[in-house]
Amino acid sequence: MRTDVHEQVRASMARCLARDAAPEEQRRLAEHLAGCAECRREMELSRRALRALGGFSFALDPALTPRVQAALARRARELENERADRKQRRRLRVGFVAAVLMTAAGSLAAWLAAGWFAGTHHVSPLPLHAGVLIFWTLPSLCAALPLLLSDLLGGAARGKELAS
Amino acid sequence: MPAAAMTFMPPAETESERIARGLRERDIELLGGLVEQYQVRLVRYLIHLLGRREQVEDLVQEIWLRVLERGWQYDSRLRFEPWLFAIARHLAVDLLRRRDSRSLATAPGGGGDALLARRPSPGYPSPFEAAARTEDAARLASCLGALGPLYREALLLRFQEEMSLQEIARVVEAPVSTVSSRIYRGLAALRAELERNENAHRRS
Repeated sequence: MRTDVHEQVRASMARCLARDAAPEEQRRLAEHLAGCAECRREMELSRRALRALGGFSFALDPALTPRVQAALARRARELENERADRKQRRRLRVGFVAAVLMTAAGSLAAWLAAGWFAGTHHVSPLPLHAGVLIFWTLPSLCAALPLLLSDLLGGAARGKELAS
Repeated sequence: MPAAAMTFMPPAETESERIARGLRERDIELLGGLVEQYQVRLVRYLIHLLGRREQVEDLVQEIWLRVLERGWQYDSRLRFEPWLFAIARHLAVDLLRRRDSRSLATAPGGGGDALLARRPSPGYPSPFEAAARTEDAARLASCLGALGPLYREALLLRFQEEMSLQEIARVVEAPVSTVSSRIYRGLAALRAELERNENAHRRS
């Protein structure tokens, strides 16, 4: 047989074994193999080589699967806790931003109202504005700050936990 | 009426969709089932890829944890196996890279395929030889051990895992033509190795 034909048949064998050949190519190969003992031997060797691949067996540590499953359950719990934690932190941040915005809007309205009142009653606006700052703005900020502080302190504690 | 009710029934969930939903929800029962179902195949793939048993079991745990953490990335339009094996391959290559960067003798760098291809022989019987029970099986196993890991991987994924060429290409992140070539060359190399081994055996 000419070498180039032999090479073509070898390539065709590989394609057929890999189930990558069209039916026409498979038919041509079968025809060729029927009349060529050398290629039949090559094909048989290839099949044995593939059986070698399939014949490999090994012992799996029986403790491996339960160990992996336990590790997965542990990690899933950690991820769930982290998710709940992130959710809570997000809620705290939203609460803090809302409190600051409400404080700013409320303070502005109270400030303007105090100015208008002082103007219409011909009194000095200074004590009224001081009253707005002391009795409105400051307490509102003091109420909002714990939200921010609990978020920051919680983050630091989690950081320490992770580091440990 | 029952016929009308049947018409509006949602289509049944496929296996891939069920897995994707379970992974998104981090369903531990589903994951436990997947571990049982794929453990042996995963270990076999890693042994073929790395050509040795050490660290394979630690790697397996790391792979499943990655599946848990990145489960939301799984696309249910594709089969689960190629996605799982692609994760396994990434982590195996990462392991080799870490080990290589610790070793002063080996220069770091190069892609995953280059790292796999330049793996030295372990210097003791390969896991294939260690598993062989008969003389014939030992001869076949020695041929398998002598094959390059990239060829062994391509042959395993095609003939044992029965993945399509496109799926293998996705796992190994190489063009389909490269995968085909690895399969053909791997098969030819395995055949040649087997022939050489048998001739040597006959002579002795």
